[in-house]
Amino acid sequence: MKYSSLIFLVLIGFNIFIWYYVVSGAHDDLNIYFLDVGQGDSELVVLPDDIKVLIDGGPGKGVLFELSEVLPKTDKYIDLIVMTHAQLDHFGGLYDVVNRYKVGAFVTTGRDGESEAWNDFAKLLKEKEIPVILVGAGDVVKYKDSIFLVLSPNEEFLNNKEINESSLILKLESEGASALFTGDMGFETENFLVDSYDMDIDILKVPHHGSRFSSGLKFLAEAMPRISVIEVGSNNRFGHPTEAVLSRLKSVGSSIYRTDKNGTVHLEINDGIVSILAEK
Amino acid sequence: MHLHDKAFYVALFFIIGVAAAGLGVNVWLTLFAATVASFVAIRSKIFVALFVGITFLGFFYFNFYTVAQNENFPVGEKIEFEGVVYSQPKHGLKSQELNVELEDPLKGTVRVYTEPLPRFQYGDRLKIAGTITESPSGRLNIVSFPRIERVGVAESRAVKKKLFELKDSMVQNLNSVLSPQHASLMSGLLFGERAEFSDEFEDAMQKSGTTHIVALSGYNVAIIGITLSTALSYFIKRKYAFYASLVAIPAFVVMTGAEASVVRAGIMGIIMLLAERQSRIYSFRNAVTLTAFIMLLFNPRLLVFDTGFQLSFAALLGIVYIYPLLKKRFKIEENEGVMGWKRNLFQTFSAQVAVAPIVLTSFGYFSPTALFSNVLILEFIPVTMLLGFMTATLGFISYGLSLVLGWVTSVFLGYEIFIINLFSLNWF
Repeated sequence: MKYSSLIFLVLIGFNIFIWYYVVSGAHDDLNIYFLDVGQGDSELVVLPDDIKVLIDGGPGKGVLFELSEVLPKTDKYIDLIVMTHAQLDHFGGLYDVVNRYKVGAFVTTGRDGESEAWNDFAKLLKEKEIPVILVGAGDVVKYKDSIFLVLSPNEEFLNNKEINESSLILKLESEGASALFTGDMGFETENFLVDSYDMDIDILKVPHHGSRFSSGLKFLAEAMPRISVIEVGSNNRFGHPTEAVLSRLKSVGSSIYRTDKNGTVHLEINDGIVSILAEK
Repeated sequence: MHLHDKAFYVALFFIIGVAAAGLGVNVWLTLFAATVASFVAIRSKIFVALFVGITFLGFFYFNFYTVAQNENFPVGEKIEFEGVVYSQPKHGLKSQELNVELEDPLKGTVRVYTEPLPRFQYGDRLKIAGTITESPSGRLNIVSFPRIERVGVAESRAVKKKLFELKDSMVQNLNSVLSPQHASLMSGLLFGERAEFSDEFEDAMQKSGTTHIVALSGYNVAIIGITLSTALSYFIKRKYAFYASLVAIPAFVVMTGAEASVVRAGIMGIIMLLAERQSRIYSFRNAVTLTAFIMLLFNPRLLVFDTGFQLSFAALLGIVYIYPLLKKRFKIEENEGVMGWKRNLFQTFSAQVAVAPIVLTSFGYFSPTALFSNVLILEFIPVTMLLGFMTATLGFISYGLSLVLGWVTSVFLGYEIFIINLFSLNWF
């Protein structure tokens, strides 16, 4: 009899657990979260039907807390993790994500990092037996009406001596809107994009945390993003985002959101209509 | 005088000697005080001589230990050195914290802060290039973000390593089914792991006076010991359950990093077990003095310099000596079931009264809401720990079951976090 109340409790919990899923159902809009992970990048894209794509993971464990705010508490599955390039402020947090979530597949360019930290992470990926998919310019990731186009790197950029220029560039087209995820790309990649593609987009993840060696006017004039989000830590030692970039973004009429000022920036997109829900 | 009285006084006077030396009291003054004290307690010349001798031994031992432990490394210079990670690294939110024991020609221990990746492990031998700076709080000296290279793994630490791995995989099981906030509180309750607490949450726990629930006190060890021995007695014979507990308790102490409070609880737990088995009377007075005596033999500096050691003993003394008075005065019944809140209230109060002087002098802070938050939380800690332990263990067998049970655990953890945050607010 001593344990009857405990068993009862467990059964109640089990019931709530099941019914929660039955009742809540999946979203049918597109949600993009620019997570506040300090000085580093991490974006979570939740496609219609709750398909979760995490692009980069910031420098440390902060991403876990952000994810748990955004995803249901019991949701421990991420469909795709995309890593733009192997620098610590982009993959550091992925170490713990991979450790704690079940992951469908890991998507990246195939260029290895040079640090001891990267070796550690690569080892963990192998241990967890997560399928790794290497992509390059021209590849496509598709789910129903949503499509991720891989714009860069091609062979040349992949081996660029500057690792930032080897960043995986993704353009998302879904729910009548388009968003560009840019990693840490610089002018070189920007020019390549402008020359090779039709770059008109609605939402821009501002490249390289607003470094002055990115977000050139030539690129911005083509892209004309209506919403720009800068992922940056407050009082970082790099002086990101730079005044130069902020004024360039303003000059093309883009509204600017920053994770250091606005916290996590959440865009809810339904049939071309974007609602912006910033934390602060 | 009975043998157990002699043992008690020997331990007591040794502790007095250590305390005096630690506080920097003059040796003659100490011996004089010991003479007076022992004469008042026992009117026998031989014993007075014996106890004064023991006091001197304690005094001497403290100084001997301090000299033997002397550190030898340059402070404030850029140097390169090798060392071994001698305790489990703390993988915090923004950095990694390593305690490193220096190797020849240097001597001593330092704390190294470094990037979250790559992950270093217990027993790693590192080559470090950086500057050792003095700690502002007078604890371990610090090396901030140096260049580190892993040059190997120290041998002969296999058992400890295995225990740490077991704990890590249990924490990992919790992490993979609970949200990070819940998982970090649960790891705190079960293993005293606090690396992942955010600054805000640490602060909230301190303000609400609930830090002790994750500081692995005797309370946690007792719950784990009782749960474990109950569970074991279902599966194996009583005799074997006794031996299993004798192994499990030290294993747990080592696994959780052997902090003073856990060691204290572990030793007392074992004494209790032995007393029960030998059908001897369990004398609290003797058990507590003997425990302190043993711990001080290993490190006499604990008594004066380790706040955890002081808090642990003070709280225990409070509960054992003050609580019975309150119990009589307010006529509290044991085993009163749902109304256990009264017991929690008065036990918390007793412990609070006993630790208050130490908390005030060490932290300069005292939580006015501690009584209420503790009454509301403590009642649920045992069941939370039980559920958390089951969730972590189930994780080895079935992810699905662990996930479901984790959800039930989350209900309790959510409530506890709510109470902690509620009572950390400035109400005035």
